[in-house]
Amino acid sequence: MKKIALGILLLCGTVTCVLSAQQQASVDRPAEPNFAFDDDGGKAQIVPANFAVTGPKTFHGGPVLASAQQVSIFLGAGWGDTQVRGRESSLLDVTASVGNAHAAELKQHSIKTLRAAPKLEDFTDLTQSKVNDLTIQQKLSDMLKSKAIPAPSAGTVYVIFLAPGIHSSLGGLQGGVDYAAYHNFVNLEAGEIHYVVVPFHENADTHSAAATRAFAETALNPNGQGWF
Amino acid sequence: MMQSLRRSSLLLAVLLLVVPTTLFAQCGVERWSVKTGTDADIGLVHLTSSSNTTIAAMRAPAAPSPIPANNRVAPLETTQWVINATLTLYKLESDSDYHLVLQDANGLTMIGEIPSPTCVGSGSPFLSGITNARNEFNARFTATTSFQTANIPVKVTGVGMFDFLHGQTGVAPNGIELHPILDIVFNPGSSPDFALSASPTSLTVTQGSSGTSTISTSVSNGFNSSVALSISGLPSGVTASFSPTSIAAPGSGSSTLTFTASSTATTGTFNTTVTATGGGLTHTTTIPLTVNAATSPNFAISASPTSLSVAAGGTGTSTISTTVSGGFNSAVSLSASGLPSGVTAAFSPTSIAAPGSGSSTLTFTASSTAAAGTSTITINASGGSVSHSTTVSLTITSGGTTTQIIGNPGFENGSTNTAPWTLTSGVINNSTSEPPHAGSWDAWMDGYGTTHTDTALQQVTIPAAATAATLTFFLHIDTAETSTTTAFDTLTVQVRNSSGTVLSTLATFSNLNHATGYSQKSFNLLSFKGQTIQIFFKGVEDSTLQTSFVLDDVNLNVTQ
Repeated sequence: MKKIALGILLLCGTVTCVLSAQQQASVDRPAEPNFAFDDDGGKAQIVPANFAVTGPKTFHGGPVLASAQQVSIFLGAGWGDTQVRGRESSLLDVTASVGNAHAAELKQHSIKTLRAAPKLEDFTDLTQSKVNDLTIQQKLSDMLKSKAIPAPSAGTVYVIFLAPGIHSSLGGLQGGVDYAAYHNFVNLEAGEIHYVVVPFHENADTHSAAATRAFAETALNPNGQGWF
Repeated sequence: MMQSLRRSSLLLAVLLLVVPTTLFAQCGVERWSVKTGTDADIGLVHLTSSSNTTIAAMRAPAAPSPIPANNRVAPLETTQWVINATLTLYKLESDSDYHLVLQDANGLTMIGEIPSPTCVGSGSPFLSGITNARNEFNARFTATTSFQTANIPVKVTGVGMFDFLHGQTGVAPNGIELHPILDIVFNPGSSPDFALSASPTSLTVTQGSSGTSTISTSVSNGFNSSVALSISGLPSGVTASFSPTSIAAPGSGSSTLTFTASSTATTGTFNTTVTATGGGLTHTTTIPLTVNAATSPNFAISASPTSLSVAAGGTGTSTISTTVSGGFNSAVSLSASGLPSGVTAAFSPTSIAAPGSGSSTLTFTASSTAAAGTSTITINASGGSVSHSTTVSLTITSGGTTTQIIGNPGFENGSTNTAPWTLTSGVINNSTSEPPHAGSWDAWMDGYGTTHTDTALQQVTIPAAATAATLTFFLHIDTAETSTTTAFDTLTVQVRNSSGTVLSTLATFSNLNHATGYSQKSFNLLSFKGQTIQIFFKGVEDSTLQTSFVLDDVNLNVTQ
């Protein structure tokens, strides 16, 4: 009996792997480099896991934020760990450091960076190990409805830092494997919401760099037709 | 052993079924209620009839702005459309939708989406159609998470929905989609069929009464069968009956559907679904049924504005409005009480004519001797044995000869015509990131987080005869600086002569003065009477950590 059960488990594991592999192998990608299809058919800009850049940015005729204000959301039970939580302070205002190249780039485009809003920590929810972009959008919707996070203004960028152990996916791409962070937007009753999703990275500098770049790319290219 | 094997096999089968389901079982978020028919305006959608259209026609209207999150934009989002097109591509999205790219003969495309029925609220009138379309699609194709090519003629029926443009494959320029698709016919031809409709398409009944709708069927392409009728989705306390209960072969005819609401029927609007079945085919139509409570006659009263200021010797008005409910039918007389001395009130007209719904203009007239101050005026309305009241806050201000001499004081001329202000680039702002104190615009100085200086200047002349001259402005400061002791970023307010020489520094603000909201600042400039001066604001920011100085409503009030 145990052998049969073990066999079934192995077989099911194989089936899951095969299905996952099929998904992975057949991931559609938009023509633009550093973009991915999101979970409802649109495109989202990613920070590749290897931080590759695609050359000088060009303007594509769409909106650019006039200002950008970071609202940090630390999501998942893993942030409750004292050691992990200690990293939060370095992530609260990702463009604030002296000489920050992304801050300079934003100023070059006359984008003001506002004082970061107070952070939100949510350790109690999101206990599942996998979250995709729809989960993030639903979470933002719930938080806005419950007023757990401030309502958006034109420059608000919600930066969602996922706790260790939470695996992010976007379309068919995997956080940490295909991207270090991404940004997207969604229209809810509160208005148009711009957000960044940053999977946890063991290296604090890499973690911060991913968030900073995605934050700056949100300001420069909030709706996919700005600077990229 | 065999029993264990059977159990294990069953377990395996269940797991094999569950694994792919759990991989994809997630629903969308953005405009999801509109996409699946649980939005606030679902009652506006006409599902009992459909209109033929083309992809080109659907792409022609401009996208609405803004696109409402939970409401519909008529007529594209309230009409059931039928489009003949070619299905070129299809894909299963992570939100469980089937994403279909539809193309016309000229290569124009738009998107059609078939949501998963598991993502549609049970009360949605779209549910049966979505289930139908999903089954029709599944019978023909197997959608996966990658785009597949179909290139097959289709006739699709669905409701329009403006999506936000975000790079979707096949998206129309205005974002219009058929979302959801409620029916899809591949290689549409001439198979026997029947159509179902209701008239009226929606009904309202009051508790204790009844209402009817005529259900009609028409046949095409040789359809020849009786059509059985049934209904679902009735609220508690409402019954429905068809007369006759079925349409005799060949299937063309009508039946009277009667809804009867008891005195305790549940009130509200409910989507009832009529299902017609015959000849192996099933069609449905939705009839929104509203059950109203039996109510007593009443009316409501309101005032607009609810507060106003009147200068002594002047007049002011507020509009008093009444609305009736529950069959109220009487004239409503109006009166005012609580008037301060020297103030009179007059209504025009003096009463609202029967049935009691309308408006009257209330005019306050203040004598020149009316005392300054604020009073609460009570507006009384009565008619048909019902009385209600509302209040208006009335402020009487004293007369005077004070003149405000700053031009464009609230920066409301916008960014293209800033005169008579002289400002550095990028200061005039209407972004909600730094909202104004009033109006739409403000002067947002600094806020870059790098070395930067912004200035704002306006030249004015204070008359020599002035007896008072007061500069006021509203200032908001926010900062990323954390110091509680060091002024890293500053805003200096100065009076300069017409050559730019500093005559007086009125104040210096800094990151240390940051606070939420605006505070008003005030300075006495009477000492500059008889002079032409410059009001000068200068914001200086150091190399890091932004501080924003936001000015609005700069006034220089001169009394003579």
